[in-house]
Amino acid sequence: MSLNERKSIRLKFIFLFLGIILLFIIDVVFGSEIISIDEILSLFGSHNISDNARLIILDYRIPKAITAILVGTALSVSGLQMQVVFRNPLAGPYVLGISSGASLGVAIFILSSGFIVASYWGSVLSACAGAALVLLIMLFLSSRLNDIMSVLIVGILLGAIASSIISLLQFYSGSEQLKGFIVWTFGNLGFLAYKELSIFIILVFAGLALGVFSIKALNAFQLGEENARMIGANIRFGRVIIFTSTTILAGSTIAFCGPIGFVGIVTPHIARLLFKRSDMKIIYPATIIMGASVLLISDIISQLPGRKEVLPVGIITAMLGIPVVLWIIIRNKRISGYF
Amino acid sequence: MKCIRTNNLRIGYTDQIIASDINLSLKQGQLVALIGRNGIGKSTLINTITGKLPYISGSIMIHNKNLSSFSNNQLAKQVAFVPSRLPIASNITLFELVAMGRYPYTNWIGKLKRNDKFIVNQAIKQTGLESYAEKMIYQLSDGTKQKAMIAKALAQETPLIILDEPLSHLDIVNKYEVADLLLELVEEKDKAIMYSTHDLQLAIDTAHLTWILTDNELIEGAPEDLVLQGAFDKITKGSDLQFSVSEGNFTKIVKADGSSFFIQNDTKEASWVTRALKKNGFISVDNKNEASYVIQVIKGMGTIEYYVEKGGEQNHFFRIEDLVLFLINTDKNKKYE
Repeated sequence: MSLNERKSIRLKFIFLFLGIILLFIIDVVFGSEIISIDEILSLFGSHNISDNARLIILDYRIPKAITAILVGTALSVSGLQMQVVFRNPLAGPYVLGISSGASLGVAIFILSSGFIVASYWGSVLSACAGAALVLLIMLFLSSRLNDIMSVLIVGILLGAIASSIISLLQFYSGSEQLKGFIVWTFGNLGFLAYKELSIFIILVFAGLALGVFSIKALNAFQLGEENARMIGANIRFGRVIIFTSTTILAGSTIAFCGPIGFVGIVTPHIARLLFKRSDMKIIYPATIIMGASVLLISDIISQLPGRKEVLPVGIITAMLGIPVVLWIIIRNKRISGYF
Repeated sequence: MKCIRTNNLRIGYTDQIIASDINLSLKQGQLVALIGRNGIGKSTLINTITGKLPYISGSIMIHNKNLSSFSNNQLAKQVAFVPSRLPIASNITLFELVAMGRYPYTNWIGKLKRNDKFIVNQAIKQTGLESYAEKMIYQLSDGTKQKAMIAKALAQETPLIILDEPLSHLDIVNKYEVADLLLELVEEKDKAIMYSTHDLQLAIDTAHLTWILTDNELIEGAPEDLVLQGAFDKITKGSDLQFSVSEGNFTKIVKADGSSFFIQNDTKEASWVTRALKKNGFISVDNKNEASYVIQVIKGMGTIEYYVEKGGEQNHFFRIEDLVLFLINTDKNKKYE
């Protein structure tokens, strides 16, 4: 890498980081209630701020914006890991069947518990249980399967089984519970108060840290497993680390915020396009930063500034994500060239 | 010192034995070509000695240590492997690809130290790829990609390099360039290199040793010795190809059902006329009087004419194509008469 390239990469990182700060401020300021910069600044200084604005900012918008950053980061990194491990540009955080497993946990909890208003922590824990169960099955099977394609197919099959059980549960459940479940599947960043947020932060950081330790293995996986093994990579150990990291990242996101689609598939591509590299030492942090920005943007849109209602963020990420995937496919006709 | 040695090695799968009693050895400074037909087990042998496939019985020793006692990382410092499929990760530069060879030596995140970069640059230089170092892999031709993979193997700094059909995607110039590169590495860097190939001509031209894998045995020796022992014929046993010891290549055995011919000259043109006619089933005879056709090549000023004489009747042609066509048609008419 030449000195110029290194400089331009550093510059891109600085700009993206500044971008996140800007987006964070916009996300906090604009919503159904637009709060002036004066009022926000006064949070830190004098007391002439209305209680209402203080409440909105401190108890709702700031935790939501932090959640957006965490969710974007977690889903994007887990998407990147899956795309590299499975050498598939359309893989995302959910290919291992984690999302379906977590959804199944939540579905069992909401649909069959009989609670009309399901408790939040109940659904969080049942989602974690579902995701962990899928991870255990996948780790067990992948230690027995040599071919990564077989692992992919098993993941898809597991997901399909979970989905069919969910459909069965939906068929037999009452309309109130059904609506509760459907709303959960839209994904929502606004569930987390500071107590939940502190746990979510710990989980995301744990997943990201584990991910950092997989950077070397991810670089080797890019050459294909045969080459990776012959340059001394421990394939099975690498898979265990990566799968565990992805499950923590994607599983905790689903548990706290519901399934939010397309961020995980799209962001790694944007990071690659922007940095034109696939060295994971660059792409890993780039994906973290891009993921945070993408979800902040989606959240800003979902708040529909100036209007009363707030859309579920999952709908926005899908609406933004699908055209981007299409654009990526059309723009570089040989998307597989990146893999 | 023996770099790799096998004792009574039996390879294959649980339900199928591919080859038994394989006793091979390879020393530093030797280039070996592994030859054998498709499906005979070349890849199985390579996958076994690179540790990908378990073997059924016997042993594989690498520097007098049992293969199974090496960890992945230790093995990667002993054996570098270049698979037959070219690299698919396209969005990395050639430098980054070659740098992957430093994987067993770098720290937990894979940071290249000064020494690593030096070795990578050396490997790129040795393979003559300096001008491509910052190019993306997808911009490279197959020949360059193959050389890049060899450079990666070099950066791995292993005494032994194994390549699975490294020449199969290459044109003839690249084939010889890559084979020469391997020979150079063996001679200058004292590496032991083994590659599998279907190109016997090239194996004879460049390799110190050949390992011929047949249905029931593995024959080892210098290619020249094996040619004289008739071992090359065992490769094509059961087909209509035969190894010509005098010409040093394979020739197709053609059913000779045409008429006989005699060719008067002894020029290069005459020998290619003979080839063309033999290919079409005509029989070459040494006596002019026994031949149905007598052929003569006459060179004029910038022209070459091929004269055919048959029972006093004479025809002449400017191209071998027309001559052969004429003889085939004459033979056909003769049958109807």
